[in-house]
Amino acid sequence: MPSVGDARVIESFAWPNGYKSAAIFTFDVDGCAEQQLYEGNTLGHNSAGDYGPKVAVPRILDLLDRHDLKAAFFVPAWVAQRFPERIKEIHDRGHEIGAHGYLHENFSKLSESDEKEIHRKSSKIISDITGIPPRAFRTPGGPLLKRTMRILMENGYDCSSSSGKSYFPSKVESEGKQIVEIPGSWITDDFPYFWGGYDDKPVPMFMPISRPDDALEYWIAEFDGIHEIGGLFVHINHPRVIGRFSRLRAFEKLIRHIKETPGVWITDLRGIVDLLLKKG
Amino acid sequence: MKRPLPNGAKCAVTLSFEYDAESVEWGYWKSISGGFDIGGFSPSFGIPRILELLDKHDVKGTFFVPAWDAERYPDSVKEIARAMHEVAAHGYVHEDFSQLAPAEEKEIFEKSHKILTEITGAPPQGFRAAAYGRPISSKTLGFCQDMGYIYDSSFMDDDEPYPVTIEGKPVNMVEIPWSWPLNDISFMSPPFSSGMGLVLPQRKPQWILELWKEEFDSLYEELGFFNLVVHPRDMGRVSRLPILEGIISYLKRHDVWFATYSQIAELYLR
Repeated sequence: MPSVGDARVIESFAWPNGYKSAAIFTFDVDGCAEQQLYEGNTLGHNSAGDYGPKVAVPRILDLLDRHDLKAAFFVPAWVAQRFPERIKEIHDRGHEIGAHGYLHENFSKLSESDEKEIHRKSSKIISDITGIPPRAFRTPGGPLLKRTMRILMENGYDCSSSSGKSYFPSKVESEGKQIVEIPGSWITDDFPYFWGGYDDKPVPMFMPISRPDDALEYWIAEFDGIHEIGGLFVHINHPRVIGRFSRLRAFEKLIRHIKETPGVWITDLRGIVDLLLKKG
Repeated sequence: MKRPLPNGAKCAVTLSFEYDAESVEWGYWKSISGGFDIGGFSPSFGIPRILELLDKHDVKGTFFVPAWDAERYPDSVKEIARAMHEVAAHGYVHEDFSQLAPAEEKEIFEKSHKILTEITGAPPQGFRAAAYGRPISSKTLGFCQDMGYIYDSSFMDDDEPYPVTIEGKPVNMVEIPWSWPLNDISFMSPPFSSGMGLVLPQRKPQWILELWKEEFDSLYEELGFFNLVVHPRDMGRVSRLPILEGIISYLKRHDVWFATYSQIAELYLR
């Protein structure tokens, strides 16, 4: 099944208040969801996912507070069930909780009815914890399907941050409903620089460990380029990966660099969605 | 760290070593002849040089020894114990504990415990899983408890030790978690040594030392626990021993307490 293939090419974007570019911060709190899904084992090596919600998220929340930033946290609902108080804490401290599957599934391997059930169950679990159903979604493993966009729109979502096609947010309209797509990328993600371990499920991968300031150089180069073309910088961190103190120091240097760059609209996912849907 | 340290030290430091002679290759392939026989480098050169280094700096380490290797190199393992380092359990032939039937796993725990006890004269106090990434089964921690171990070091879900629970119940055991960036194998393992056909990237000695110093600096300031994992078959090369000496010297310039794993566990169990 093909992924969404009809995104328009956008070459410029008018940010509010004369800002030249925009930046948002997002986190994927994946926990041990894939280890549970593919191996049924969250012990030993597989426990590395728990490091995110258990140890890293509180450090990240403090860091965001110090810089007066609001972020979006995408959470597989199984992880939310495993750490409900932590997820509530993220919500209570003013950040958005987005949906990210139940066990970080690859939706392209599932039937439509199975996918719908996962969306239904995940939304219920998250809203039971935070009091509000999630409105933003990031596709977990696998490509973003047209089917997924349709299901999201039918279920009250107004944002997906799953594609990497552009440096600009875009609005997808269908049958009178609208959803904002916020692009991401691997280069602005922490995973490729730090994961380090070898995994063979769901796909074989090994990513060598970088020194924190080496990753910072990649991020800053990409941010500077995005600022130059007036795009949207979407940073993607995984608490299980970025949560080491050494790496949070590099992340904080990135935040400072962005703050010190004149003309950047530092906002959150809601800011972008509201701008495109002309709310707020 | 969430416990006060002896003499009010600011940070606890543990140096752990994985003896890993040919048991690794024997466990995977029933052969020790592949890849330059690098398992044999551990007892023949890596271990003696590392023991000299630890002696020179007057610090104690914790050595995780597959019992099959201990049977083949009893004098070398005795030497570690005689120098007052800690010898701990690490499987029989470096098994993947997640792939064993419970009866088989139990037998390996008991056999390894007996062999290490006979060779060193004292029962091991703890365990760390073997095989790439330290997979364990749902029974492993229970077997550790049955053996009377006071620590496990197979998990990666924290930066500092914590009391172990099994099925929600506290037990007399402490988890001493490890991490990839503080494990030398992330930067220096030769191809195939893990048995998975992996080619891990190589980093230059100075690069590794700088990364470890940065890690230590942040953990020293923010947390107070630094746990290093070293493989003598890899670190024992003449070009890499200066990394180990470099980090030990750097650690000693700070307000740290060098501890063995059982000393750490006792802090939590007292």
